[in-house]
Amino acid sequence: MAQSDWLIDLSQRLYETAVKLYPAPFRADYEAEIIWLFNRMCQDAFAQAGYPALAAVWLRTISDFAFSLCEQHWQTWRSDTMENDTKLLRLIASINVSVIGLLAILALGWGIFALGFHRNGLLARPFTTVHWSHPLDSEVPEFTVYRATADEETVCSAVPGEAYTAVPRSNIQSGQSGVRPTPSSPDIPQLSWHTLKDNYQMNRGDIFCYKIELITGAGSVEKLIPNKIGASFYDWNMIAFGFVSLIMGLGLVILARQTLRLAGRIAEPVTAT
Amino acid sequence: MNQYNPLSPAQFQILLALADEERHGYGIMQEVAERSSGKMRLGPGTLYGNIKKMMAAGLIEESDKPVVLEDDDPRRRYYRLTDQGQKAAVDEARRLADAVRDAQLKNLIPRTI
Repeated sequence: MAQSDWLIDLSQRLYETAVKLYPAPFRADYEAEIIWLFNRMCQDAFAQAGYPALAAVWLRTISDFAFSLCEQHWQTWRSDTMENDTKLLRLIASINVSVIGLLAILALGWGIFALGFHRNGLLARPFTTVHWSHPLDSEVPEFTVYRATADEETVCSAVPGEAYTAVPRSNIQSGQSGVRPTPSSPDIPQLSWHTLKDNYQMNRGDIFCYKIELITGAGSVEKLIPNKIGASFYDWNMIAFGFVSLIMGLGLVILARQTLRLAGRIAEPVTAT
Repeated sequence: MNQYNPLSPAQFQILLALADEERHGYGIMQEVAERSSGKMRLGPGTLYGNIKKMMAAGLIEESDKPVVLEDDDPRRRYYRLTDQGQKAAVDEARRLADAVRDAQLKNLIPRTI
């Protein structure tokens, strides 16, 4: 029997060591009990059928141990994760829902405007009929200002109070990679053209201010009016920005709803059991 | 069918073992092995893993007054069914009985086993 005691004692020590691999919460509850149970299993098995029975106990226990070890670690990890989620949800729930709602309304409003109703937005662009009013028309009648695009349309823009250079419309070519004076216009300094070219790399849809100098004397200035604001392009940057705002707004709406729901669901702090 | 059904085979066996009396872990293990003629043996990890889950689910509970025997060890804890556990066991047994009846109707197994 001394040998059997030694074997059982060794088995117990081995199993005790193995049980240390279980997660701490499981060990806190069942470590002593599970070791006692295994010890009883070994004693009974050896008493009934000797070594083969003890070996059988070990064989069954090894597979059981491997499986339950994974399961307990998985459950502990999941439990910890859920607890962290609950903390996060409680934090979200503590946020004033009206703040989230206000942000959602702002984001949705801006998104809808930028995406659809901005003058070059998806919805408003086809109906853009606003005509640009030359700010210098009344102030400096002998000057005119061109703002051109690479498209066929030309639109104008100007900053009141600035000095502008004026050229006849015939000297402006559209539909190319830039708007430039024709070479046959000797009165246009090349420097002006180069400056213009360097400063404004023109692409389709771009708008820029073209300073036009009155070179042919009073009364020869050709005005380009009326010009359609918005040109013939969609503002894809604005549309994309609007789309992102819309998504953010919808996300905030969902967050606000979730917050309201959670505020009701986890009103009481979760106590550890 | 309640929220606990279907139970895992091990959980159902534990409920069955506790159906007639309070038992400690080793007692549950022995009862299951005897009743199933050794076909089902619960290992220590599986047994206590399921006990933990079932206690959390309210199917079983620790007995307030453990049965004290001569060879009792203070590390032993006794477990018993709760009302929920009783109901879950009954529901599971009915579910299994229905499954057996269906199998009989399909002639997968004889009408009388």
